[in-house]
Amino acid sequence: MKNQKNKNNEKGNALMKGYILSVSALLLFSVVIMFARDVEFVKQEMKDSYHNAVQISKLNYFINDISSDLQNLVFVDYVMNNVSADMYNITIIDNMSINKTSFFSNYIQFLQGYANITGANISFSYYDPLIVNFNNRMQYSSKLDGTSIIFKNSSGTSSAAGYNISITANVAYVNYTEWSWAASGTYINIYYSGPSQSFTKSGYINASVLNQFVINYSSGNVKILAGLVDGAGNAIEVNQTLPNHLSSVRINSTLPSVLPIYYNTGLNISYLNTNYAANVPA
Amino acid sequence: MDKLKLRMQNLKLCTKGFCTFCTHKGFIVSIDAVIALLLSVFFVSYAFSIVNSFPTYESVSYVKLQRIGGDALNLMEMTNSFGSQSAVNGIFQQTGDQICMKLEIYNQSFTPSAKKDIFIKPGCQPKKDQETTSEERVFRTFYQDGSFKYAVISVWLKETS
Repeated sequence: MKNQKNKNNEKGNALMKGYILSVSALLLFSVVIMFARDVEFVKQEMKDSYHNAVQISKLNYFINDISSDLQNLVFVDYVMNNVSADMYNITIIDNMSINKTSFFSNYIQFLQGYANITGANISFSYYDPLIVNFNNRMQYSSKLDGTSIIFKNSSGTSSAAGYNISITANVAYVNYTEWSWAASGTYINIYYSGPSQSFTKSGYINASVLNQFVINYSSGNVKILAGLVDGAGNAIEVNQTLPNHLSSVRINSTLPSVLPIYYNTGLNISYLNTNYAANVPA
Repeated sequence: MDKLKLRMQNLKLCTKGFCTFCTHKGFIVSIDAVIALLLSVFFVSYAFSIVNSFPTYESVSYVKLQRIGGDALNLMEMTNSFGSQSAVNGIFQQTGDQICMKLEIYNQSFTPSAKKDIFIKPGCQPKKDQETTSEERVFRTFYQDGSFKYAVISVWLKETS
């Protein structure tokens, strides 16, 4: 009797052990399966984020491409020369030999072809004058007919201590009339280069009044204005009565906090799930 | 009779439930243990195979080719290289031996009649490689000599035979 009882107890214990171990094993496998499912989910999220990164990268490429095209008209270069004071050496090169009006009207059409090839949706708008806006409120304006460029602070007086102005002409001048140089103020360097002619003039000007430097040609003239220009203090303007005297104008100055820099041309690009709607960066 | 019963019991395979221990010891290992082991190995290896197959940016290989092409075009435009075979080759050489490239210049429109120039990276064979490897194409606009143009670069991996 006792033996039979013991045998029955052993059987029961074995059965209990088996039951507990089976359930434990099943629970373990369930955890492993759930873990694998979670990992699969995370994997899919990572794949999606990589694909989004690819699209963003492509969008950035389109914006960079269009910005490079506009740089043929007005090119802006900047080099930081004082980190602590956030000062930059700015150079703006205006290509006066390109007819900006026909450039833009052809460009709108050309961009439509580009959009069709790449599968992007591109909408571009431009204005007269073409303006480059700096973060510190400095503004470079270039009229599309090529008759005038202005570099000024749009909300008052520029803090530039000086300007370097380089002018390249297509036509020989007859004579020129300098402005009245001052003992102190804003320091101006003028570098003129033309067919078989060149000169350099340097000195201070009184930046609170309008100063005019006039270069006369057989027909028309080129004027360099400095000081109180277009309602702004310590500004620069170069204008020409006929749009073919000058091939390029280059202005260089040291200014603070210039970044970011944008053209006033509007750009709206959609590519797959990404979109950019703002001005074109310079 | 009891001895006979015991012998019969020893010869029978355990049939009492899936994972219950048999009342008899198995020949070498019990079937339950074998099944349990197999299942464990299966589930653990499945989990590991999922965990180890995380996608990396590099596995999206077409992206690499596109970026190389885009960077090359960007550099060519910045250095005004599009019209010069030697300048284009100089940039081609900087992309590495495994990369093949073909640059095409189109005047105003992307049509066969507007194709102006073709530059192929030295050492690359366009037709042969493109039959077996996939290529990526990148477009760029640029302004030269008073008109707008397309630069189209095809990028693919060099066939290693």
